[in-house]
Amino acid sequence: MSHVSWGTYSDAMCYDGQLHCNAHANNMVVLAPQDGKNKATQAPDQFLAFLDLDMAFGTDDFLDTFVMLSVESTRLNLVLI
Amino acid sequence: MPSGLIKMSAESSQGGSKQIESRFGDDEIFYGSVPVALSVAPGHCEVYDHKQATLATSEEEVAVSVARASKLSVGGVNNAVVPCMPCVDIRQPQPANKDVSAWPKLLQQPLIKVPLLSVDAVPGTKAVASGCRSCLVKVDDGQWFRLKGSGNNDEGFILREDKALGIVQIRGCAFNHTAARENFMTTKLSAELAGCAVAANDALGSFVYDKPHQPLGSEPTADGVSVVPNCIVQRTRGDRRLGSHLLAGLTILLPQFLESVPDIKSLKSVFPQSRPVDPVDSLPITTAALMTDHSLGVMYGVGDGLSFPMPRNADVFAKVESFSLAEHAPPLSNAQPRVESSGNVVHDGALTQISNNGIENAPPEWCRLWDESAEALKADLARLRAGGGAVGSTLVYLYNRIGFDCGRFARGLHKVSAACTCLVESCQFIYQLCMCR
Repeated sequence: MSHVSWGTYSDAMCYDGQLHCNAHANNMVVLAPQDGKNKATQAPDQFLAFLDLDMAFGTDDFLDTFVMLSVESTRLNLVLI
Repeated sequence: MPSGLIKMSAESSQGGSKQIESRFGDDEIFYGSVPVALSVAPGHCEVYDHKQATLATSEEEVAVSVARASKLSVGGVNNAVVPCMPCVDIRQPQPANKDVSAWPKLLQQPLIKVPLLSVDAVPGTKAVASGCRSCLVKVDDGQWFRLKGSGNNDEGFILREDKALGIVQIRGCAFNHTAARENFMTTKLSAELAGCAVAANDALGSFVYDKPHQPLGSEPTADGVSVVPNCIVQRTRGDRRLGSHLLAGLTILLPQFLESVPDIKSLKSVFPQSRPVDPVDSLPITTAALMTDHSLGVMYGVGDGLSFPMPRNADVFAKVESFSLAEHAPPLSNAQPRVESSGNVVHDGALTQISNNGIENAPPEWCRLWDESAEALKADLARLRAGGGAVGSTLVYLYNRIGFDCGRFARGLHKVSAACTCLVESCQFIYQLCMCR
């Protein structure tokens, strides 16, 4: 289990049952060659890098804002264990 | 990586024609090629200080976070909304640190995207679009910076109504709480994932825009929610996207890299016997189906999958290490494959590209770069074969590395420290996670 969500949640911008989700392939970018090198060996080490974290959160700073929504929505996928 | 150099004519903002030099190379390949113009905007810059960042957990601060869940009465509308992530805010010292003397000179005042020929554009600036609301700008020392929330294309910050939801949003910007969160999580994950994944960005801070770039005004709501547009400022290492650019591009170009198409029998042979089979066509079920099923199994807490309950490991994934493809470099830009009306494929076409206008001939600066890259690949492939090493396929290796990099990022996320409960898997990266085990 992950302690970090890339940004999967619902708010007033979502339609009923819809979720924001930043965990998708377009939030990995291709590194320019000089940025993907291993600093010690200078050999290519990393092809991709992650980004788009303005909606990311973790268990340490989670706050259940969803219950405050005035709109009745389905809460299917963002479940706390 | 090679670079193409070409002289081209362009209309200047003064209306005259001038010769400009356009060099396509790594900048265009890895950062972008759709130019944008930037203008200085009223406002100020704020430095992000991770050492001073804390969680805003006081009763008053949490009330502001929660207030974002509802429609807001602000700036003359009563149904405005801003992003409401399920988390507390990131607190920065107040007053904000506005000393940006360590930033590149160009970024020491707020910038906003403007039309290319605007007389207000900062001259001599190399900047490219990234989606609708962001851009990347190159500064004098060659570093690139991301301005996330620098205007909705070149329209500034606009109000958009969604009648179905009954809401109004500001488009084209970030906000103080999303800017702080982006910078906080970027810095946090960059440190915690060091050694297994690389963040594309490094946090610097944000632009805070003043009038006239405040479509809902400068005053917060009665609950303290700010609707002032911000722009996230970060150093960046690239912008070509895995999905839209790399994977989609490889899919389109794949036939040009292969001397022959592998048959179904040889493709099936790389899957283990225990790989589930689609009863309709007797082929191995797709990895997408296998991993979607796994995602559902994990989310609902019922094991490794709903329909396919086995572990996702080497017993179900293709063994591609030794799979060999007959590869070659693609044809040069003036010898592209073209299908005649008879169905025959001939190689006398021009390099094309897909744009908003449909399929059209690629511009010369891309053709030059294509040719140089194709020649480089041809030489590399010849060198690899001459070396006699255990090189199966550079394409398979590339796809393998894509999965590996995604997987080690997902695996890193699972190791990030946390103090309390666990969140359910939210990402599609479980597949890659399994692949890099």
